Amino acid sequence: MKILVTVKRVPDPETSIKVKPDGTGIVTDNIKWVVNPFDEIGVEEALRIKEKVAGSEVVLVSIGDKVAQEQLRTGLAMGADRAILVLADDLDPLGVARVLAKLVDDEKPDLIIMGKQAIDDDSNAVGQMLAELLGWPQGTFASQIELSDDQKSASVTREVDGGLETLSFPLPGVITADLRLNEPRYASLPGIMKARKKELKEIPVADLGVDVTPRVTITKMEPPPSREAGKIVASVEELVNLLHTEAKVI
Amino acid sequence: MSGPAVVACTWGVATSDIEELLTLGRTVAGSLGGELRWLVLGALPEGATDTAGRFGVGGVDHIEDAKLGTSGSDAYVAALAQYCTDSTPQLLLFNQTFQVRDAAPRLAARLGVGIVMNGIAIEQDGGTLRVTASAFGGDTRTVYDLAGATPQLVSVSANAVAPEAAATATNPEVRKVAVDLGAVEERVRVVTPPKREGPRLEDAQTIVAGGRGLADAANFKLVEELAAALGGVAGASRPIVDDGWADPSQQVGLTGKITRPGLYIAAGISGASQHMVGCSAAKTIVAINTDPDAAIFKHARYGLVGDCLEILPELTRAAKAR
Repeated sequence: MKILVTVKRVPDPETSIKVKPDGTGIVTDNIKWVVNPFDEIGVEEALRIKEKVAGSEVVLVSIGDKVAQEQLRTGLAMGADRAILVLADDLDPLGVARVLAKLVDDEKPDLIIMGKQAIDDDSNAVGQMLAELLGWPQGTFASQIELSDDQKSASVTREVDGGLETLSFPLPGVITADLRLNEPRYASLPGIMKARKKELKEIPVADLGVDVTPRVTITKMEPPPSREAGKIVASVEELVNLLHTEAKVI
Repeated sequence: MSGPAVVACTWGVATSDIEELLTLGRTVAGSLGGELRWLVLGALPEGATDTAGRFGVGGVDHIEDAKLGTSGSDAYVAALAQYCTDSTPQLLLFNQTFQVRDAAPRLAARLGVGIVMNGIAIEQDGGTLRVTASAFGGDTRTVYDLAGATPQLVSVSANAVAPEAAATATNPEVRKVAVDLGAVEERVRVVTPPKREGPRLEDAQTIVAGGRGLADAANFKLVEELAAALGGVAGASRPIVDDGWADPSQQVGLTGKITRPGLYIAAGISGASQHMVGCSAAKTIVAINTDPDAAIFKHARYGLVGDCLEILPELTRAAKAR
């Protein structure tokens, strides 16, 4: 089976993000760039399927600047077969979904796995949009994926408002990965060596003939409002008294 | 005829969530000089007309169909798309539930319109809607301009606004809106529905949450004991859920539950921004941590520097004595 997996280049989640004083973006000095952690989980899941289902192919897709090659090479070193980088700036979620839909028309995968959201804009929209544009069913926030023996349907366990829920739907479909789906592997040294020779195709977005006019544009970024620092109390007794008399919560 | 300025769409959410959405919707509709309508999909909540009147809704639109209410999003997307075509609203607002996260981006893709998720605030500038949303796990806020075709969609984070009744109540009517969902074939089948057990963190008035400072899985019971003594619910930070000390359903934060209790006691939690997203709407935050420089103290109204393993039992005794 052919699996398409998205790979977005994002700042390392361990980095503390600071907004530039003029609000035009985040401070990128000394930032380490990584594969979006939820996408990395998606890559791992696709590789696990490939290990079970003979003849499978894992194709990575990234959209962005040329430097996103680094993240695609990381995914190839983990074990993916080849990669596509669509060169484009500042697409909004619908633009990203439309570009992906065009690639799906060309590649005809049986399954698409994406991170449930990218940890930069936290938007959590592209997977659902892509499923809609393709007319495919979706299983979002997957913490467990099981394919039927004939790979014609998927069963997805997901963490939702009320707890864990299990869905089943026919493939092709879109699945978005949540945190607890798996623990991604590290690329091995032979994997890194092999990745250098794997195909990484670059496509300028204009060549795809897709309408990527943004509906949503970023005007500025702001730090969150700071909360007034509270007081340090000396004892449990003082705390309980303040909670009762001042905060009136107990 | 031009449609309503703002339509607040709800299904399957608590009254407090509805009141938040109607409050935000009324403000935005006012700034656009238009009407706020409230679209209910599925069963009409108890006292809907009364709520709508108090919150200044111009009218309630009600769509009921047997195909709504399943877990899949196909029927909701179809119903909303038909509604938008018929009623031509400028802006659609949603409470960001899991069902909305599934359905609203699909609706945006079907209609070819813009959507902002995690919305916190909305204003208009010369007719352009400007939406503030949280990003980078709460480390930043991004301000988006919505352009192009209408309706534009915003999924609003829990606790974005405090519910506030309208200065002048309205007397709205409920209008049944017919949609044809005959062609909808739900492809997604629910094999195991979510289990609802015990009180929800999202509804809790008091939450005691534990983190790595508990030092051992067995000590999570200290958190549960204080929660029980205060009549509250026990929560957990992501690291201890990952380690299996607490259940995933107890996780507070960006990838867990977004809560809004009156009292939030964070025991042995450092206060990473991803955690704070889940509790910053609490009225009073109490931090207990051995590290006086822990980030949690910047968010807490009251801080107690010390070992939560000693302080939690002491607090439990004090709470029981009250």
